[in-house]
Amino acid sequence: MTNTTEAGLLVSTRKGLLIARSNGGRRDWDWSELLFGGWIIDYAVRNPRNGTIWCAANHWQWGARLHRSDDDGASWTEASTPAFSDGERSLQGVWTIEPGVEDGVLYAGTMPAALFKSSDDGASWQELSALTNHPTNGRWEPGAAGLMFHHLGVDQTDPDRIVAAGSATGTYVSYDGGDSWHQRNGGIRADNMPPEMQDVTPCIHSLHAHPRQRGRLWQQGHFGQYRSDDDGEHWIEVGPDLPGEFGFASAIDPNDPDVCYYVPLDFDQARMPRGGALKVFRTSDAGATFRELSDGLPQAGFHQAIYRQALGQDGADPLGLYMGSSGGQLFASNDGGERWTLLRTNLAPITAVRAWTMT
Amino acid sequence: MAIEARLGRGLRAHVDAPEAVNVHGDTVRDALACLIALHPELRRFLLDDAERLRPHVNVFINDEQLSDRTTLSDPIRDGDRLHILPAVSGGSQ
Repeated sequence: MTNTTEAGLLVSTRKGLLIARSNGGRRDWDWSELLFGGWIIDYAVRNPRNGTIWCAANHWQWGARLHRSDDDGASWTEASTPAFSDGERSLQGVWTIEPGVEDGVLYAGTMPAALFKSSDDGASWQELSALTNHPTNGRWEPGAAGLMFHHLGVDQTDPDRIVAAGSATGTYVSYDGGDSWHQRNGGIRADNMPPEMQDVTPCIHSLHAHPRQRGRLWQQGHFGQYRSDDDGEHWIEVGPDLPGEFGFASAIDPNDPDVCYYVPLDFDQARMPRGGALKVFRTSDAGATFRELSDGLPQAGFHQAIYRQALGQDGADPLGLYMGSSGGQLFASNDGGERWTLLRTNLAPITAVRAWTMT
Repeated sequence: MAIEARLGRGLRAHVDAPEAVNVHGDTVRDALACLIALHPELRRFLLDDAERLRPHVNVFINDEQLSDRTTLSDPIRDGDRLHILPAVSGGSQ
């Protein structure tokens, strides 16, 4: 059990950002006012290395921005934003930001699909063009939200190993810091493609590289839930008995590589929980079995989705889980999903939830 | 005499700039460059990273809508008013 003394939450919504803080119990939360009101917050995350909070804001008229706060959200500075240099593409949004191993290194996944690296803590960004120019990129296909890389796994013990996943790009792994990339989609089903093209560029909805077991990846795809033990060379479908192969969000327990959480939605023509019952499922044995976790969650009349970044975990033991809905409801559990409470209602659609704890 | 660039209320909600700014130039491109030189924070609101006019920004020369959104070559003259206005868009937002 972790001796948690402080917890924090970043709740990104389509009308602004909220920050919440709690003590180690993670029951009562103090909330900020709405920050960046009116802006779509695609993603916000706290860099555990230096405490900087990064906020990717977007506006349908004024474009995408990055903001940073070095004082826990009390004040913000507009930061340098990844920019394309080819005069053709223009930034539509920053969908994820992940810190690298070395101080000052950050990675950003963007729409249109590209990966950027900063080596100076966000003062400047360079596109890792070997990924953008991968020979398979002609097969990339935008999903309903666009074409983007939205999940990154940056190995905190090996700065050269990076995993990138997107919609609909499939999964790519680099072992040389982004200079070259390997496509890794073996075993993924893609009902939108002919049989002989199943593993070309499947649509990944969320993906996590486990920090404690090299090669262990978990993903929620457009067509199924999967685990890999070899950085995606082979994927094993783990959730055929879950109530829905579709889903956006998933979360791992950074303390246990055999644990993964999914929020199944009925198939892709519905995109809401089957029967209107919101259920989270956890495997603790690498996908062999799943346990339903629905205590405290609405079990009727819930016609919302949980978006791809909207299931966050705080890394503590017991694990805190935080789940935001497309209808602006925020649920939380401080015991690994066994019991859920409703923290907030009436928010704008929640795009991302990220959490942290301090000991 | 100059060209008066007039910034819409929706734009001024985000940028600390006056409603009217005197600018110079022979084309809309020149005038926007002059405007951005005077108020650099406007650049990212008006132009994307490929230096194109953002799709939801409308520009009028007096009562005529800009015809060349690609190279911004529409001619302007001293005494013209250049209206820079956010489009009525975002209904699904």
